[in-house]
Amino acid sequence: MITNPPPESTERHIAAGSEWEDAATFITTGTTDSFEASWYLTKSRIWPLVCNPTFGPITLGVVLFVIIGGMIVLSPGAESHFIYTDF
Amino acid sequence: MSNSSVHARTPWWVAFPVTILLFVLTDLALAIWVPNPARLPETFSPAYLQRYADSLRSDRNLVVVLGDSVLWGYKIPQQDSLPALLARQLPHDRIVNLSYEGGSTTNSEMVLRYLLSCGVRPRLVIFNVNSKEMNPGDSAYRRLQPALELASHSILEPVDRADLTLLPPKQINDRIGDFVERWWRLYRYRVDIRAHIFGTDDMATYLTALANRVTGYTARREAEHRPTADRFFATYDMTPLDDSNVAFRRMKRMAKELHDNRIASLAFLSPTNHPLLHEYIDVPEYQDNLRTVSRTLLAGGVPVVNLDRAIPSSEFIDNDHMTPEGNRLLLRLLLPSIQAALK
Repeated sequence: MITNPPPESTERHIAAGSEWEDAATFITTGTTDSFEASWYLTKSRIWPLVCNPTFGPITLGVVLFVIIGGMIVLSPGAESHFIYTDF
Repeated sequence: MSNSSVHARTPWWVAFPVTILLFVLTDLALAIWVPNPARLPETFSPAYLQRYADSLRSDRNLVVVLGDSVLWGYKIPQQDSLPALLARQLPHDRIVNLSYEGGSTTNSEMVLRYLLSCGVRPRLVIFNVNSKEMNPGDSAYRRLQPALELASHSILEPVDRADLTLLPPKQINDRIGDFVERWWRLYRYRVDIRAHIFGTDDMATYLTALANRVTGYTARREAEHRPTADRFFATYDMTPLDDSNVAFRRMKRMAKELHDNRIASLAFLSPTNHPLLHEYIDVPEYQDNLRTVSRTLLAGGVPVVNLDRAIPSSEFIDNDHMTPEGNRLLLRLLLPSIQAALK
């Protein structure tokens, strides 16, 4: 179960917190910790989309596209420099 | 309630058509993309060159600059390279910088033939002749830039195969790669996409360069790497030029192609840092070779400007590559001849 405990005081957290936080992110995620917030958003927003019976396969298709496209674009170039004039 | 959720379920295999659809859309986007680089990237694919040449076909005010890293603008920003400076002087003409790092007379001749085979008809071709590239020891003396070689494969003649050191014959994996490239634009333009994103060969090279910059290694290396004469030992060959020299033969052939196709042209002998290279090139044989090059080009109908000693040593960053100010000075010296050639 995803928990998103209400803050004791939004203003207090923002005043004492890091550069990352602002009112919007604090209210959305209920935390001032950036790692905790990203994990919360992953669990609460992205994972349900992947598990969604309707959109899950579509998300998987997008992920496959990103992985295959990334492999092509980010793989090391076999086409080394022709000649490199480096004096 | 449970029935409606069963009906809303998308089958898992839908992922594959979605992936394929996204790749098709990517390929459609690449189909409408036409390269228009300010200068050629450090690496490019044969497909990129083909596409670029096709885009030049209909242009009647085309001034093509062919040559080596001196004209490409080695170690200077693109806007300070000679073709970019020329473009500002001739706003009504389209100046296309088709020189590249590691270019040579041999390469320039093949680029010209490739352009002509693609139906490109420049109004003027400007090219440099760098005496170091007439040296059989030069790495581009008889080698073509790989993308150029692959793109111009169909126009290679027996004499080219005899003269040039070509890529090894294609193996089965190359043929599979060719097949995939024919049908898949993302794969065909992968070199160009990498060059566009990273500004270099690939992410690994980019990250290495970034790490070297951040740690100060690049700055230290450049500080230690001041050009000294000994670095250019054997860079220039003093053997008298004649038809036994591949680059010289290619230069003659280039003059003939320009003449036969009635294309206006202008050649210049690349400025050279004489004070740095004094002990190697300030000899009569060097001057004799420059005279041979000039005489041969003139006999072939190509006007030549001898700029060998035109740039002061302070405007060089090494033996032949110039600073931005050196390039501006070079343009001032060349511009009257360019304007005369365009009339």
